[in-house]
Amino acid sequence: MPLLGVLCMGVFFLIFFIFDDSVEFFKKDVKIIFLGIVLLLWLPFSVGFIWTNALNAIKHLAGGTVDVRWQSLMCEIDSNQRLQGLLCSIAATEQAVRKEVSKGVSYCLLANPTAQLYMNYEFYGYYRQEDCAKADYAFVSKSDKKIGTRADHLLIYDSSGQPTDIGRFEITVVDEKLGSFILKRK
Amino acid sequence: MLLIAVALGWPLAGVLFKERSQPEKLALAWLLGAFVITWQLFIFLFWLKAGTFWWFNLIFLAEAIILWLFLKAKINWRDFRAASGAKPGLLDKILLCILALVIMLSFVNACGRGNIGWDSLNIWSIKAKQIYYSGRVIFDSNNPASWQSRAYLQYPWHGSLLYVWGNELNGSYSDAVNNVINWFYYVSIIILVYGFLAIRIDRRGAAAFTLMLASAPIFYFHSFNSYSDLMLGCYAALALIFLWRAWLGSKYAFIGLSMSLVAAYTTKNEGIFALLAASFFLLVFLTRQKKWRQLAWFVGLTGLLLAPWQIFRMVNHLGIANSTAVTAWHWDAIYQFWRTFWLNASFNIFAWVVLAVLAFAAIKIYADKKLLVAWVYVALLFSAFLYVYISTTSYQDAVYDTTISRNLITIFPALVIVTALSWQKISKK
Repeated sequence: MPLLGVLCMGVFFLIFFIFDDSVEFFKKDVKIIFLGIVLLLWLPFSVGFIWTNALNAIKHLAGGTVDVRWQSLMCEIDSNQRLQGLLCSIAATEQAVRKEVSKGVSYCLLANPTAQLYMNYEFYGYYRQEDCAKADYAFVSKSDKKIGTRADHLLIYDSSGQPTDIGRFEITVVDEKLGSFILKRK
Repeated sequence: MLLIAVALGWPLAGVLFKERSQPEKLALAWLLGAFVITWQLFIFLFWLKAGTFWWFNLIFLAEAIILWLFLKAKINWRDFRAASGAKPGLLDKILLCILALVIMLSFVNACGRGNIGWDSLNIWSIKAKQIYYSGRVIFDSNNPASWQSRAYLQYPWHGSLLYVWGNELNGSYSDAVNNVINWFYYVSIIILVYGFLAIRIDRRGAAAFTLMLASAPIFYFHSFNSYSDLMLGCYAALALIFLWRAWLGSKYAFIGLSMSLVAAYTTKNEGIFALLAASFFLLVFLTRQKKWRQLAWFVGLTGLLLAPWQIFRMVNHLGIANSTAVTAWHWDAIYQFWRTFWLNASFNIFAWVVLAVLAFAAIKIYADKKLLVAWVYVALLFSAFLYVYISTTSYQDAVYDTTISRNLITIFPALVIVTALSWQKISKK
């Protein structure tokens, strides 16, 4: 892009200063030539970018495999790879969870008080503490003080410090980057 | 949602854009209507601590009816052709078709995505979600869903309140509603920029520059993501349009300017740069013209519109900055600006187009006082961001390149306008 920008200026510089005033076309239409060069350089990149974006959205709307590489953190989510999806990023997680929830898979998504982002789930309605007792999966933040374990049982502490045993889980995936792990009901 | 906002803004647009085309009035009606609605929502929810939403809409509709009757608003369809006085050529039509395609693809994106941007998730959408699911603003700071529980308390509420209201009208919370609200802003500013340029340069130039605005990658990306930068960019550019109209002698331009500047300030804190810069130019202009009555109205109206948010800010000891001043100057931030605007592809090659236009038309720009003021307005916005990054802890954001490109979005529509107006002056004579 920068090189194209310099090229753009350079070509116009040539047209603007080298061609003689006696060449009527350049004298009259110098603005249009400028605009033409700019658009020729502009459109291929922008159209490509826009089309790629639109293709992702169309795929998503059509309900097939979703490529959510809209941001650097994103990765490929396949609707069958629920846990892989959960690791991609918060946003990708959300997309994966939505798909799974719509298919009847239930999650216990626990808020992390140190990372406000996890609160998001509470407001999406995916996180309800009472649902955790029967959830198929639990998505837990390591640093969450409300979470504890006893043997292979997962505990949730309420505000008074009383634990609720939500059943036996096994760790399936640990994501060091997000500081979270995913458990599957045994 | 669109209907209520436009119904509320339409009578105002009829007065402020009296001679302009209907699409431009529609676009302006949305921008002003959305602001009028969130301005009132802020009072209802934060000052009156109201808890239900349905009667808000009755108030908005009643206000719309009163305004229609009082301002004798009418719908009289005139298209762009009538407004610009020229017939579009084949090339103009091709450019406009590409523009329409870009807008449609953006809409597909808006409908097909979650709120996946970091600030969208962590700031603007989640604040809306809290209010939506709580049914009111919660003031008990011990409650994890209280307004104090979120980060960035000092951020204004325009975007989030608009999302709450849109979702209330939708009947259920949907990320797509938030995205589509941004898309409305995107379409509005495209219409306004095209309409503004079409009568001042020509259709072809207007279509080309509007296409560049619409298809600049980062601007396009924000057209379907629920951030607030694009909204701020729309209001900053609208302020420039009203400043220009005030210069040309439009009687009520100061009302539009006042509303768009306060809208900018209540959208993002960075809106204060536009507020200060444009107000300064208008005050100088009105003082030189000795239009004391307009000046008093502008100051009074701006103060009145600013009051709810500004008083709330003071009462709750909310600062305006995200960062604190540092003892050393961070000149490396300048390089980051250069890299972001000129070397990255976020704005395609527009920064180079700006340099080229400035190089070829500088003398003529200097000779045209209106255009010069417009450039100074844009340059002041740019300089304000640059100053913040050089002199505060925000330089870290510059170094990691997390915010500069988004800040530049707020300048971008105004920059496109001044660049297009200057392009018109390129000639060998």
